Amino acid sequence: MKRLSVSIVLAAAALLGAAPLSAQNPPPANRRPAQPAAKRSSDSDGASVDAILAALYASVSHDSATEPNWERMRSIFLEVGMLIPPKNPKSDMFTVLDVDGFEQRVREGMATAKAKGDPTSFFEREIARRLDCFGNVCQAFSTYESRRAPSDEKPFVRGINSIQLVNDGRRWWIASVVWDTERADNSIPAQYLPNAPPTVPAEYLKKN
Amino acid sequence: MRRSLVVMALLLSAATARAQAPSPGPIATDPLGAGIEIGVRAAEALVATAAARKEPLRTPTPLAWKEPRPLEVQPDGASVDTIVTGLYASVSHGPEYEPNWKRMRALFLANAIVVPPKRPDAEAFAVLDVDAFEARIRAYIAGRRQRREPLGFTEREIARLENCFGSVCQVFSTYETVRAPRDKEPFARGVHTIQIVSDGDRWWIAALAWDNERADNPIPPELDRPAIRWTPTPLGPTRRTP
Repeated sequence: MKRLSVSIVLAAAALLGAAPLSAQNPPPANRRPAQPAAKRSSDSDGASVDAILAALYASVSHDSATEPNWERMRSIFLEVGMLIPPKNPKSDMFTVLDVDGFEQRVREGMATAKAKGDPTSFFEREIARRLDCFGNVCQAFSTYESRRAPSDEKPFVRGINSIQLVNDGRRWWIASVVWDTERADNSIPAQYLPNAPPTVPAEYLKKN
Repeated sequence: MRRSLVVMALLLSAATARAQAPSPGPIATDPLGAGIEIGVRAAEALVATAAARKEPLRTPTPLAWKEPRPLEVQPDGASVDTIVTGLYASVSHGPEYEPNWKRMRALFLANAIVVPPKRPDAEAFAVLDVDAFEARIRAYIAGRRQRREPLGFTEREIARLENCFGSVCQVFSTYETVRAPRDKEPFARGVHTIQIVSDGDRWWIAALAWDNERADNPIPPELDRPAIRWTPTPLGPTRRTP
């Protein structure tokens, strides 16, 4: 039986990549109309929440000679699943992307970086996770670090992915990924970092 | 000929009545001039009031007014708490009504997705956009009405877990559903997971998924009412204090 578990887990070092944040903001992708996800070959990436999150980080990570593994990424998202990068301060609205739109955005970002002579490699890994589950739905608050090379001592960016997951009875799917990055005025709270103390809401302590 | 005479007689009597009782005669006796008469009387009253106060007549100054964001109902987007409250409040409705569609739609990003629990006989999830979500609720209400089943739908939040960072929040919101707000025993319970994003001005619901409580899927104590960590925001007039 699937039970709720609220825990902060140190994730196995799954390699990850968040989207290179391209300066330009592509027009909102024309999302496909809502339709049932086509039956796809059963995939071990969907076997568990652990597996699907590891697959997300692994598929988005890539070295300078390659791109994210789009096929793998598509296979873990619902047909109409979506990704919402942080809003560009210059734009009026969020860019809501499906995997196709995300692929286009990442490619544009890589092309821009290549033209400037910047590195295009990208390795993102999860460093902490807060997971809430009930029945066939889960939400993961997944803290990540991004590096240009896996051996880099320090990440060039950190942030948190909010990931909504659903299970169709056979496997898990990612319905939605939304993230924000750490900035000077937006540091990651201790409770979402590794070795965070268990959080008990202050209101609960007061009552008990 | 006779008919026109009658009409003339009526008009004449109306005019006479008006001349005889200029104010404040029953407007119903002067159906042809009622609209004008109301306007004239209002203006007269206004002038009289101003004269009594010895004030010059002034045109009211409009309040400072900001252009609304693309979708109105700003207050619901003010915080994570108000947007979750707005979701429950807008979807709840009495037996004679439907959800408040305008309010509900204003909560969601244009590209938001809604993922209801998969039907056991369905091959895959039916992922809905907001249009399809509205259509689904309309069909549910229509079906119940046709089968003459009790209508009305009130959903209340009974516990909430929030994770927030920057412009992103995810909420695990336990709900119970009753027909009438006074009902004690819910006919359904479950947990919503709600992904919420802020554009800097307001919050939006980006994704909504949920599962229902079943015999083999009970709501664990951490998410159930006894574990409530704070009193949830009242859901407007329909919510009773626990």
